[in-house]
Amino acid sequence: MKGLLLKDYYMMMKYCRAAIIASVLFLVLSAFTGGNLFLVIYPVIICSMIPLNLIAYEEQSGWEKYCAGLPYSKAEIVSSKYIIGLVITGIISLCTVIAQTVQSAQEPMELQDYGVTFLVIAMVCLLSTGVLLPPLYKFGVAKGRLIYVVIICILCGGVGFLSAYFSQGEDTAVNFFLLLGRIPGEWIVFTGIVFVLVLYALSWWISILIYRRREL
Amino acid sequence: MNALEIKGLVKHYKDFTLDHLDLTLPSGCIMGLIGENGAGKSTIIRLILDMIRRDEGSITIFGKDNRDNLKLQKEDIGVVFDEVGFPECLTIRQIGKIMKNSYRNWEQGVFDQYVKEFALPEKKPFKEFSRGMKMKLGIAVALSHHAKLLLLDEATSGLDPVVRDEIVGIFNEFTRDESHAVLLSSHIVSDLEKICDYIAFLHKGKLLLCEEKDVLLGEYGIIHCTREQIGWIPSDAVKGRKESAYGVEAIVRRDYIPAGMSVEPITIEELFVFMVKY
Repeated sequence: MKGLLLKDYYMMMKYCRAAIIASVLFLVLSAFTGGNLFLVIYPVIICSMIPLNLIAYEEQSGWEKYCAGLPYSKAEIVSSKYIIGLVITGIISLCTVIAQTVQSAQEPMELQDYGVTFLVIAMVCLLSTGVLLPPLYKFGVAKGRLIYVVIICILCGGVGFLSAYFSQGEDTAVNFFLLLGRIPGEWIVFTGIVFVLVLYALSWWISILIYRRREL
Repeated sequence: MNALEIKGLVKHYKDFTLDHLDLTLPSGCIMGLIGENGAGKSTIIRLILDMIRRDEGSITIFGKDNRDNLKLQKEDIGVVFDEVGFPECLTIRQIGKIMKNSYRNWEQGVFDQYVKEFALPEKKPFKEFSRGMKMKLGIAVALSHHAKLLLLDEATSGLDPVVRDEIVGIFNEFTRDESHAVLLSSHIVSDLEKICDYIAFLHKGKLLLCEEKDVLLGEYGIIHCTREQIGWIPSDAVKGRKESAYGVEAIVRRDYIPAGMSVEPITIEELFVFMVKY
């Protein structure tokens, strides 16, 4: 699979340079503007879409068909994109932690907080990539991208609806956020990252199944 | 050993069926798949590479089922499609590195030699290559990892005659090694006629015939005669006939031609056109 990863690296350096520069710029801005949430999350979303961009360029050049003649299994072809997703997640999470370190230079944070930041950013990035890839392999880039947007809207809408529902005041049967407040933050993050990792692995497996059945 | 054996291969599509195809390509030989657009040539190559699922039949490559560890079998196969699909930003140097990390038997020296021989620009991105250059690069890659079987799907179409001639020469050279074989699909019959040992005619998903080229050229001839004269020849022996105001032009088996009737040698292209059209 080394050849596939090398090809993805070359393509990333050529086609995703703008996304990488924008992400760095946003993180630098976030470091000097008090850690604005938008400036932190936006680079994560941009970077999580790098596998999509790579697949789009591959589709355009006819690589998918050409690659079928190379000594790679379909599982390896799919896996290369998930590995790229993991590497990007690691890098962007680390960059966010660095930006946060710069930002909190006046008031140094505890080591644990850095860990929490790393994991939260990793969760968002992995979730985004994990949701994105199966529809992409099933329906192709154009339709897959649209389905991704719909899924993200449903997820955001769902979270919005739940927060509104559980925050209606004391009348509500269960105040979700009060309940969450009683659970230590590290446990929530830990449970969250385990959940996202399971979801990512599931997405990986589903994409392989889809791609194996796909006729090229 | 046979490089490729296809038995009873069937693939159904909504508006097309590849119908019970049998083909055998012995090692050391070049087989040409001839057929009009949509006859099923590319479908066969895609089925060999398991890019699409077959509905019936079997395919063996050097004695092994093509679905049995195909990844390993592809180490021995060089493929060139009608479009060489490298990402447009890559340069030859980068493609060489990618292939070095893809094929176990990749020979960088051989690749560099082909790049030099084909006068390919090493620093230009792939998107700036002409069609001829792209095909040459695809062929250079296919020949640089000690492949034993070359699958070439319309690899010469869209190229100028000089480049085609150069490429045809390379394929000829490749099969000097008796463990090598080439399956070449094209609708440019003249190219296939130059190099192929075996010719397979495909028409609307069916195999019309598969025979040694020299046998075909020796077995059939073209005659110009009257309607009455063509009636003297058994209809089984007539592969195709074209009637006009001036008489009949027909492709017939030489051993059925009555003595005294003049017969001209036939080309593979004429044989194919007559079999399909008339």
